[in-house]
Amino acid sequence: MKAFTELYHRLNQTNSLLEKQFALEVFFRDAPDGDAVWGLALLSGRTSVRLVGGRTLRAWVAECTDLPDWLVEESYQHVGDLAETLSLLLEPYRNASSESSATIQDLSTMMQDLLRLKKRDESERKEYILQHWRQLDGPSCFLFNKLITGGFRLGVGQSMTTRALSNCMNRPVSEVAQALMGSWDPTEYSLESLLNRGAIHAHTLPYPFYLASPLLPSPIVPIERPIEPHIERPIEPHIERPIVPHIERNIEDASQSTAIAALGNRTDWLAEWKWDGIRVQIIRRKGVSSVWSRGEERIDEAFPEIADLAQTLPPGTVIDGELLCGQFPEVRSFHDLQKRLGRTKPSARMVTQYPVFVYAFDLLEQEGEDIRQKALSERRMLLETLIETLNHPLLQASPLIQGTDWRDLNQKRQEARHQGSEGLMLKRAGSCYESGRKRGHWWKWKMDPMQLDAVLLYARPGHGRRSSLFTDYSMAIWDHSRTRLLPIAQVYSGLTDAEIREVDAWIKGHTTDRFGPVRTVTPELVFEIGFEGIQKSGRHKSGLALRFPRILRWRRDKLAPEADDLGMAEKLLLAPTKPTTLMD
Amino acid sequence: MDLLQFGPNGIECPLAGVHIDPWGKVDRALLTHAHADHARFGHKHYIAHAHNRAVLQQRLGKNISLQDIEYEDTIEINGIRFSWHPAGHIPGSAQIRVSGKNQTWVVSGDYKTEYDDLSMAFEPIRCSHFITECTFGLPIYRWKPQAVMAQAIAEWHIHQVNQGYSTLLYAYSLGKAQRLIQLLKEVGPIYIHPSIAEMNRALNSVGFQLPELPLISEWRPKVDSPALFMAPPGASSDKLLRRLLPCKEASVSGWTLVRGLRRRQKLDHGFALSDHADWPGLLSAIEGTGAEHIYCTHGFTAEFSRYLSDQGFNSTEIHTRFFGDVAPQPPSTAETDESIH
Repeated sequence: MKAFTELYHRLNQTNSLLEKQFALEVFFRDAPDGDAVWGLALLSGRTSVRLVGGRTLRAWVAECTDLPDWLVEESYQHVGDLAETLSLLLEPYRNASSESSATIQDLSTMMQDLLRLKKRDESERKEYILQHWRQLDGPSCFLFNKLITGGFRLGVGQSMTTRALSNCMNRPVSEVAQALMGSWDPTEYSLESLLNRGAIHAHTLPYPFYLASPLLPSPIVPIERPIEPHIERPIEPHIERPIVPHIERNIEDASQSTAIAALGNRTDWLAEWKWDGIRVQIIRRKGVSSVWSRGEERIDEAFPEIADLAQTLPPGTVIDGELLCGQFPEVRSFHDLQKRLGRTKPSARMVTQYPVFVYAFDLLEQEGEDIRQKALSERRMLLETLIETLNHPLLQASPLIQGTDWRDLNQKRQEARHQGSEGLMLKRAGSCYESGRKRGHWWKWKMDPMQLDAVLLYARPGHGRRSSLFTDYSMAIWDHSRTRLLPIAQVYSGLTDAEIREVDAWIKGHTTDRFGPVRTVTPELVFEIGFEGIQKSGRHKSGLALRFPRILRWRRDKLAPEADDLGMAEKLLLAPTKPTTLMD
Repeated sequence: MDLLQFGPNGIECPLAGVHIDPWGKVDRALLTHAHADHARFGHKHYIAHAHNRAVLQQRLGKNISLQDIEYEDTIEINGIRFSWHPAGHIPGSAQIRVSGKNQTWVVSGDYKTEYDDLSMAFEPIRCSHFITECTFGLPIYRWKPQAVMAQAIAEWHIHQVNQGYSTLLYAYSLGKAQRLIQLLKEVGPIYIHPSIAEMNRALNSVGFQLPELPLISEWRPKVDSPALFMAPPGASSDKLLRRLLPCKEASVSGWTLVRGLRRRQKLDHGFALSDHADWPGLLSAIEGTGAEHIYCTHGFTAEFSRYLSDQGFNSTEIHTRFFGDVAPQPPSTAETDESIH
């Protein structure tokens, strides 16, 4: 436990990636073997034990510290992190009893205790938790609370963990990466045997996915505008804007043209649509097939038709592609695909109602040979031949987009929505298949987001770095008659730090009502919100739901009456999404 | 009639025609201490503890009309008696006791209950009405003893020096900086920002004995060995500080107790050492006054006042301009720091 607590706090105290990796290496080298494996499982988010709900924990802390429930709640709202709030509040409770504090276990014992307790009744869990609250020192108590709330998360990526392990265990990165793939039970492995697992289960494991990087840091750079006083300004009549206003603007945009210029010759690149589904590897080796998502989960059971498809592949084949909802060539929204996600063994009705297929874009293994080092153009040819031979309706080659030059491609990018896609993928024709996120050869070039001007209606404090600052906003647009504001989306800022502070201060001064942590404010501030999709939904009063909504910029130049209305939003809803012929 | 009232210009005593730490311009301002949000420009006459003289003259002008007063001394205006008592917040800080018409009120100003070896130690004054700050009025705020914090800072500094780095502590130039200079005198060498040097001179002129320390501009990069620098939070973007890089930066503020607030500063570290009372400090101070009526100003006023009401006090939340509305502004190296209040 000590080594892991130390690791946790060292990771928290530094922003340097090198220092983080170093801290990981120290942990893997020095921690007892069982702790190292559990640490690894926790780091990669494989294990999560939610022993007790947050509400119950807060009640127990109120009881232990003799504080009223509401004050525990207020403290939580201020701190923005439950585990930390509890550990801070418990300060006077620690060592309150004379019980020996020498019983602090190692991590693996504690984790196994927690798993066991999950099946016991609440009184037993409470006894265990209170005992640890008394015995553990501040930092360990914090970590313990993280573990029992199931909220354990560290800002450490899989690739960093992999590199650290590879360094201190003296094994190649690729082997370590493969060994850590998929699900494994930390009770069953030592660090050594876990790494050997790579070889034993190799035939069912996917390759580490190669991930594309965004071509531009953010699709739209906030534009500074002079601050105009909000008062004494005549309200202009609402002017309707075209639905997709940015077709030509962005290619002119400096950062964009720089990024494009850096790519060099158009002919060195393959372009595909960027699909909004789930990334999958379909594997067939030694008579066994498996389907893996990028989240390193097997999804054979959730998508039996894809599992069937995998059966038909020739032995020694690994295909990389995107799983989408729809019946080729129709591509339906991610929202529809979500209906199938997280559902093991879908009913026959679900399968017909929400059909799926795969757009394949890469071939990683053929006839048992790892071909990731071959050039993409070559892999692509092999893939197309394979798909043609198989002729399976659920396996289609993701079409290559022609487009003679970058300007032409940029035009196509803006049409992506009509294809049911999010933009373009640009892949260097000569690139091999890397693992993880490596910049340089694969880029995603997303379409500019759809946008609406919406009014800030409610705000609540954020969490973590943003605790006690009002950063979570409910945004609203006008109804058809432009008399009532209807909530349409929750956004988690997207403003600069300075703007956040300014809006936060504004909110505190313009609160008209409070419900617990939520503030109702006077409807004045207008923000341009961007999003990737829009559809009907009962979640918000507007009857619409946005996909990936975020603030693009603060419209200081606009007053609330100038914000968009439902009619405007519904036009976006009706924007054509019908599939066109995808093959150029 | 209440002896003290909350008017548009701040806390006032209508019977005596004086204000305490007012924000609007008034004829006679009694001050608890010299921090900028309590000692404002533009009053006709000031009365403050003698230790504030140099600082006030420097900030508000040489020619202000200023009357010195010592702790425990009393002045009487229209039959109302006013006396100043140590608040333990910063050098020269005071609580102001007001009595007359069978009422005794105490205005706490800012205070901390832990003795800091520099400011005169806080002492509870018996009264019936207590106007208290509650900057840190949530039960999560519990300070460690300053010796523990001093050691933590010293260890961190030594660790950084061993790695070849200097360290830079952000601490407000009046109060926190001098406290740290005292606490860290074994660690060094310490180089200070000119605004801290200015405050040191002002305090020494009224009898404090702060050591003469070199300015950060005197430290030569690549020549001098790693050192400890001290600068006010507002100076973090100064050219003066940029030449010290690369060094490891930490803020010294009560807010850094919360991880989220600490991380938001984007510094390397944070040390929760505050010149305000923590939760147990606030409660013990209130206990010590024996007051039945409590008025909560600046900080977690709503929460703290509600808690006191739960505990059977007659407690009221007061909005002042000492600290804006309810929740504290988050600390930012470039902006508000709790210690100026």
